[in-house]
Amino acid sequence: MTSTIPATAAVAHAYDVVVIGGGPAGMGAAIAAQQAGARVAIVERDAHLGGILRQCIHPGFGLEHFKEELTGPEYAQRLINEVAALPIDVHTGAMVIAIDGDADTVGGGAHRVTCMSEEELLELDARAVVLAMGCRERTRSEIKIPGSRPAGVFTAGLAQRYINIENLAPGRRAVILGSGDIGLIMARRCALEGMEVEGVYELMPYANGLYRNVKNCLEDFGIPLHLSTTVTRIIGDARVEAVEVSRVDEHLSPIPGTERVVPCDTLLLSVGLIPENELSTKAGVELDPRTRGAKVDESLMTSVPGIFSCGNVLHVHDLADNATAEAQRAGRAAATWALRESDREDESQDAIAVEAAGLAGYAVPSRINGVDALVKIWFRVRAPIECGRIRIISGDETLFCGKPRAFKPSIMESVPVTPAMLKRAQGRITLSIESIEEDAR
Amino acid sequence: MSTTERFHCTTCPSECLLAVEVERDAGTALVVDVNGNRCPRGEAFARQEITCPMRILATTVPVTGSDIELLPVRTAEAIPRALHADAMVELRRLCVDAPVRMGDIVLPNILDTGVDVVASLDADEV
Repeated sequence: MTSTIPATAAVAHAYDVVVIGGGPAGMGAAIAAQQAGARVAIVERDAHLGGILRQCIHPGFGLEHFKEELTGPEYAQRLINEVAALPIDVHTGAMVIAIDGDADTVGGGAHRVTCMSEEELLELDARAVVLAMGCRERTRSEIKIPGSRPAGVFTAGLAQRYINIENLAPGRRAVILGSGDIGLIMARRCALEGMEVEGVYELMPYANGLYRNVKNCLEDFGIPLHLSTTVTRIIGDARVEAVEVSRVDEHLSPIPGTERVVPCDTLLLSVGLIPENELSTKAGVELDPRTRGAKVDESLMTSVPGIFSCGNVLHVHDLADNATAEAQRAGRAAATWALRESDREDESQDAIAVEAAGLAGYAVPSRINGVDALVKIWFRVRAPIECGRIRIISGDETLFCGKPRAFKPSIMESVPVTPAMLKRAQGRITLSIESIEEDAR
Repeated sequence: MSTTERFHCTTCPSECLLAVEVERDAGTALVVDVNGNRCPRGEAFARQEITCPMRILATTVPVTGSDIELLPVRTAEAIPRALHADAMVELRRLCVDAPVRMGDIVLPNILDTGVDVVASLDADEV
């Protein structure tokens, strides 16, 4: 189609809750919101619901949410079947281009979600919006690998899409940079499909993915994992011909003289994920620089009243089950907000700010409004700790001190904060993860 | 003479580090003791892992007449890891027709394991 669609052709619908994104978070939020009595729509830009789970064909999903081990597509299909059994409107093949893009037309505390599909422009009026757009992979340009710019450099998830959805082979001999779960899963997938996987290289001195993936994806296939080593140059004209790898020192700087040239035609990058928040920021949602997701309160509401965030667009989860569980909370909260009787804002007691300190990389939520219910604070450590503990501090007072134990950056965790602790907090609490060995020194 | 082998349990996200005391003798392995597991599944996993490691195999097969090109499939249960390469050869010959529903058997009793290969996703007919 080449004709432009006049604005008056927009098709308008009204909902209590509009969920943006139809993956494990979006579907979880939509189901929970509908079950809480809301009229709900999901907007998904792909032709099908399921999100990235459709290409995660491996098992390891569902142990929490469905109490059995499922593959990604099975996990997706079960949620798709639940959505299909409920009166939830699903707009697939539709991409949200703005939330409250034309502020003049939005009134009464409502939001307007503007979507575009091949056929039409859709305007969805929503009393509440749930952001569930997931995340995007970091690319070569974000880690700045020197060298030429040939074909054959892929993010691991793109290669996964080629192999598992589009029936395309990314190459014949691959080097994988980054030992995150997607990189490990793709090492196995490439090997099973007959590609040669020369090795996985990891900048840090430890594997970033789950042990199960190191074991099942590398050890099972005899694929070596090179720690404290990174790709320092990409070589090749039209196509990747080799990469240069180097050992790194304790400051993560390449050590001169340790360079080694590894012939390959494919470089897969599994170097981290970034919440996809362009839409959110354009709608005025304030982001946390640590998570690159929205700043939310304990009900997962962002800085914009009536806009909620959950799943990987809020912070990167390691398990789809956790994303779904969080999304169910967001969906229920969005329904409650949408169906509340008055537009009056909550009697404002000052929110308690939540901060991360020590080895805690971040804390979600970043503010707590109510002190009458238990709140879980989610966090992830920045580096592995053999023996550390959680401490929750407000002013000079320690509100909670956990038992000594190990912490791993590959595992997102939560710590409960009780009403008693919140009532003692003075406007601000700090979640700190402290290494106990360091204290003793 | 027994040796201690250390590996992580992969049964659940807790990933307990197991210390497994094994007596190996002329191609046979006898598990003497399992430590480090926080639940009984860890012990069962350790014994299986030493004698015959079992894994679920997941891959894709082409599907015709659908709006998706590849159908994700899996073995309904874990099969011996040693059979995965042969199973991939079998599955590469396979092509299925839409419609397919999640759980439908696409290849029964793969390599006489008694385990079926089933669809992981619906493939609607178009």
